[in-house]
Amino acid sequence: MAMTMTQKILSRAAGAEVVPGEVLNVPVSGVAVHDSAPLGIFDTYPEARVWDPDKVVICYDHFSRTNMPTYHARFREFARVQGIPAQNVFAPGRQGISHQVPGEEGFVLPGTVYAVFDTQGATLGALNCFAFTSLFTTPSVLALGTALIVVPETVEIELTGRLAPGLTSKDLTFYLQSRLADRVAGRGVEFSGAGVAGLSMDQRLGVANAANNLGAFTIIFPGDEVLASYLEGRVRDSYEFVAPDPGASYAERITLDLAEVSALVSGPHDLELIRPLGEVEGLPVDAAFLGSCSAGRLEDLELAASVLEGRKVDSSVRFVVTPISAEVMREASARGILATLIAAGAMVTPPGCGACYSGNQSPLLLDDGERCISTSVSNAPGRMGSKEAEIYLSNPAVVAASAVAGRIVSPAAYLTAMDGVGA
Amino acid sequence: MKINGTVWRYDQQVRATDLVPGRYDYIKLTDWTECSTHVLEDLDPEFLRNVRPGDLIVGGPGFGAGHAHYFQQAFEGPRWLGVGGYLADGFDPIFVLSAIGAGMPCWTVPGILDFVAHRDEVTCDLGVGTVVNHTAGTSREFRPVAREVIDVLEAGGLDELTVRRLGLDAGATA
Repeated sequence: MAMTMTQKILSRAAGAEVVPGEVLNVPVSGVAVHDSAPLGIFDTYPEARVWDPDKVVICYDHFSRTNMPTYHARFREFARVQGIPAQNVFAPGRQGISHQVPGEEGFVLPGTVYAVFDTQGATLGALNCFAFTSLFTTPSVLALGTALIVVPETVEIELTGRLAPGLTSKDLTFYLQSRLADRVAGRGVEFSGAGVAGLSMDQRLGVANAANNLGAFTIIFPGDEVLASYLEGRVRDSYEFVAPDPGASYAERITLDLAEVSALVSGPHDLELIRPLGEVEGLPVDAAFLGSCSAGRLEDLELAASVLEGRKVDSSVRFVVTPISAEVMREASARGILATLIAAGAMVTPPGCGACYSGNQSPLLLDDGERCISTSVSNAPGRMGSKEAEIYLSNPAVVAASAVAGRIVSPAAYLTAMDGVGA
Repeated sequence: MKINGTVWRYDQQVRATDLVPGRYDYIKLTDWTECSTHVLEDLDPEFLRNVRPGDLIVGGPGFGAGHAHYFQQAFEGPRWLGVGGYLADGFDPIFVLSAIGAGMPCWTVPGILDFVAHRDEVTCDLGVGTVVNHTAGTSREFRPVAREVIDVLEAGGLDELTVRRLGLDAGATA
């Protein structure tokens, strides 16, 4: 049987050929949880043990600040009792988002099935694996090493062309959402085509991050030299890329020219309210946020820094930057990116989810009537503070330029030296 | 695994935040009693006034879609009211597994909106793959739900089934 990447990965893990619609208790290669994950049966039954402590990764990301003592102590004790190695626990100093760090640290291999508690678990599908959100089934996955899933139908999206300079995965995913959401909802997405090579790993991770927003089970990128280069020096075991068979059966095949993508904005209050940037230009902003699992990566920070170089954040705007992980923070520091952001008047926080979610006592808590421009994943009312605040989502260049202007603006005037971020 | 009751039919996609509006953030509170007083309050104010234990919520494709932050309240609130399950033309893939994992019966029944009307009385046998519309006197077959899913639902949820499989409850029941 000619198989898609999804079928190949799941068939290999399950030990038998699988077809869409089939229900599996599929063995996983690893599980990543973060500091607000429920431990369920491990709380109820102290004698319960994880199936393989070496394959569990714990990331402190949601509560990197004031709630740290209570939330983190719970997982420190869990790791101790379960024998989870200290190197698998990404605590302050090494912390980062749970669906970024396992890739950076080489826990996730192409061709494998990887479970993540968090909503955006599919992010790691950029690494040519079947990464998915296990959510409230996570305690069971931790105990059994298997996950209950339904093999999804798969849509192939062939990418051609290149993103225009200054555009990022944010614009591409908003484009996908506005054009293709009804065709990918409930399904898996596999990317293919010459356009993939022009997307860096940071951009691919940002694209796969949007699976939940698209209503897709997961998103899988093919393996190539860009991915091989990313994995070199990181992976903890050998791996083989997975490619679809010629003649594999897709529910639908779609071709998308990356050159058609333009700067888009989502919101307020509704993720599906997606408009060209030009339609919201001029709206005053009180706050700006660069970060989250959607766009807190090195290229995102670098793009913002290129906008902010030699400029100042408007005094009416509080601009918060949160790197996605300690690795990204270190690299951004080494390259002078953080210095540029700080010199411009941004407040750089410890790595993690940052201001994306108000429940983490973010430094940006929005007040009634405030408006924020953000790179994060959700603009639901109350997501970043007051339910009466407006959140507009856009790419890092738009966020940085808007922070300087004090209103939503196109970054075009700031990006004359840019060569694009997809390279 | 049968579920039967009165249908609350919504022709559109019923998102997680339609089931319980996102302005209530119960994941921080886990007060499901209070949560249950807001089920479907924006989409259909009649629901809370007339829902009865066993009733089913039926919707269009993409049922449950949205940020997973709002998933738990979207099945715990209705379940607290005694809602027997969700049937739809299609589900958000993460929502449906999360709901089943929590023991809430739900499954895709293609064409369900053509087959049941608002307030019809139906019985759905997930394991056999049949929906009987008692009001209309008709029945329809669909692909039976896999044994793996029925096992979870009959156990009352994935945690409960896992506890049983690992024998963790042996001491508690002794």
